[in-house]
Amino acid sequence: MHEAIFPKEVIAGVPRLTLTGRERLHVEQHQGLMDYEPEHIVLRTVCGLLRVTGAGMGFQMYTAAEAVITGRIDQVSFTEREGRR
Amino acid sequence: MRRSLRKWPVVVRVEGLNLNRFVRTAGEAGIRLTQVRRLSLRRLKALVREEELPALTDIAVQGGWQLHAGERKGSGRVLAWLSKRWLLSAGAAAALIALAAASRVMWRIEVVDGGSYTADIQSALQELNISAPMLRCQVDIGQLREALEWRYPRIAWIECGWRGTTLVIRPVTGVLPMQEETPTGMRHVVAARDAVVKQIVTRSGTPAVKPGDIVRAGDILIKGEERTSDGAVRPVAARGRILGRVWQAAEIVMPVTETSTRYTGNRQTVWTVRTPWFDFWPMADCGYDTWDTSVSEMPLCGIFLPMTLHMETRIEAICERSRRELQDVKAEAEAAALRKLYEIAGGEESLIDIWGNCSMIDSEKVQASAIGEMLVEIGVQSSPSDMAAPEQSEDSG
Repeated sequence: MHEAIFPKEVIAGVPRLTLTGRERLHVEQHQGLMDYEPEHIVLRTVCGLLRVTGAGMGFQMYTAAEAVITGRIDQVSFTEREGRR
Repeated sequence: MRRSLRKWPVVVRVEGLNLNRFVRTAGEAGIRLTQVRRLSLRRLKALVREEELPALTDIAVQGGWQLHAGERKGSGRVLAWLSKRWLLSAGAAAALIALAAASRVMWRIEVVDGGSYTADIQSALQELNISAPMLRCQVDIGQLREALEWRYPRIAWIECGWRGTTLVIRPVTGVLPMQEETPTGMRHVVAARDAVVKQIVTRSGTPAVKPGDIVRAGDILIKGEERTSDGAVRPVAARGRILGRVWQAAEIVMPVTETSTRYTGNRQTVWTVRTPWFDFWPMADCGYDTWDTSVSEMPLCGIFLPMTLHMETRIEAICERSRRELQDVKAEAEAAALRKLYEIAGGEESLIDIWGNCSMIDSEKVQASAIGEMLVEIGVQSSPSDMAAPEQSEDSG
């Protein structure tokens, strides 16, 4: 009998990031918007804070579970601590 | 309509502090925001579906943000504009449907370059039950082309097609190749009428008569054959010019007596009211042996009631016969015969000689005749179907 194999991100709720070039970042399974400026966006995830920096950024789409960030993306990074830049 | 319109996005502008929390709260409430853009530190613009706008407004009120909903975006904006003008929309839709329906109908039939076939093609179409207007799907172009090509075998081909809602038919007439001269193409030049040959010029063929010969209509003047240098006989289409002396006669018979009318002075006037169907009273019979009648009709009630006053005046007349001077009658008869001859000959110019004769017959009439001589072309080329007849007449002539 085979044991069912589930992707880790489905079980643990870890975020899945899809970066298309430097203009579009698709974030799935985030836990909420912490900060939003055209130069940086901070999303909370189970892995920590997801910080996206760039210029002229905005949300093409935002829901409770996923967000699509568009604009010029310079950097995508995770930090352990919440709340502060 | 209204329910579907509620799915179209609406522009919202939010003002206040901590707009991040506004976006997060909206997301947690299951509201899908799109095109989120930060305009300034305290202002934000986004699109939200119209059906989610009340929930978003509640969030804004509870959180202390100011929310301004704007107009719909994209095609939803057009639909909203149209929904306010439903009569115009319905009219436009009806016009589109009518246009689509009209484009499926054949409204005209046009025969291009039909020439003498145009009228017959139209009657052929009527026989095939094809007439405008009718549905285009009911016209089988291939079948129509085949039927017309079968009907007109001398036409090379027929183009049938559509130009919009017009059925265009274009018959293309074939050009027959030149007929080659073959042994069966032998043709004689024969006499069109009785004549005495005055002059003959042969361009092809062999002359069968000489000047001075008397020929009858149908006689061969130039044979459709030529003898070659090796002695063989080659059939050709004979050509040439044959002038002949021919004569035309005109005859007039004129009585020596003449009848004149003399009025006695007696007259009778009768009248009645007449309709197309009956007379109101009959008119009296005339008591004279011979009389002239003068009739006048006067409408009584206009064109709406065809009733006329019919009036007849009868004038008694006596016919008397008297004998004319014989010289006068002869001169008149000769002039009449000459005029008749000119009419027959087609004019005075074609006659090269004229003479006449006048004689008295039955002691009551004068007969005058005028004879004219003409010099005319008497040769005509026989058709292939007539080839047998001239051969026989050659023997008889």
